[in-house]
Amino acid sequence: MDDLIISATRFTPGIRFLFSKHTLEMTGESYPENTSEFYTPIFVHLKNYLANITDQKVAITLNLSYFNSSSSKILINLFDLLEEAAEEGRQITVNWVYKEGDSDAREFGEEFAEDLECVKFNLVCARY
Amino acid sequence: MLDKIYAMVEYLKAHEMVFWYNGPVSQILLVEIGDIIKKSIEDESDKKIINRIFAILVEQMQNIIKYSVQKKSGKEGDGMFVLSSGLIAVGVEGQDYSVISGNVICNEDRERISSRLDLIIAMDREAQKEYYKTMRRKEPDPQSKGAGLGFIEMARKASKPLEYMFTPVDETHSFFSLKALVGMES
Repeated sequence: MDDLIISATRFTPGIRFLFSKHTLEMTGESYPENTSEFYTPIFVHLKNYLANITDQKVAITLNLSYFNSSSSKILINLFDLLEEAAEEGRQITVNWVYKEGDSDAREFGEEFAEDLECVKFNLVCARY
Repeated sequence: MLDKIYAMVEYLKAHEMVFWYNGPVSQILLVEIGDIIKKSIEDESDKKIINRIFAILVEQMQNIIKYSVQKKSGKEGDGMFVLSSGLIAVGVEGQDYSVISGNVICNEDRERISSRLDLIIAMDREAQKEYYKTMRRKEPDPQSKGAGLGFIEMARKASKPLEYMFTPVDETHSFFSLKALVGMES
């Protein structure tokens, strides 16, 4: 399966889904006017990828310095998808990266983690 | 009109307005306004306050883009453009920053807006968190063009309860004003 690389813009994150290496990254800010327009094609690739692996270890790094409320809903859909895949045996780790001192971003991560059981969720403090 | 311009500037200055805009808005304008406001206040505010002001600004401006009934549309290349108009302002109020939006709505939407806002305004922090988590999992109202999370997101970023009012414009329309205060308290 081909990797999915999309450059970041000022209001959409950069996507580096290296399916061949089983490392998926989203980095930047997310506040498009129309979230489904941006995320629907990305979800198609992700679902396709998850359907074609079995007990593979997958590392997902989310380094989102800001996301708006409708992107937050997209993230819930993403975590639901990952949780379901993990329940079926895939070994999924999410690394939630927040900047040192950004307690709001840390709390967002903690709130997402509350709904996850099978996905391993790491809070990663970035010092830069 | 020209003779009133400076009086308007003085008025805004007297009310400690950092930024004031009234007119058509777009996603790109939102990005630029966000950038300008961040730069205007970065010397005297910490990063957390700036981030919260920015988050409220995004929700307010995207609400204007989606819900303002003052719209103009036209052709653009092979497609169409739609411009929604509204007001956006950031000012200083005592120890807080105020983030204010305003736009024209249909009177039939007043009830839906005020019942949702009254519910959120009455909540404490813990109730806001639970409501946010519940709403994030719900399908939005049929009338809602977004995730239906904008008001609760603003309320959680604000340090005091949101304030709002409706001012009649004509028989069928009202001007909806919304204010969020961001300060060091929360």
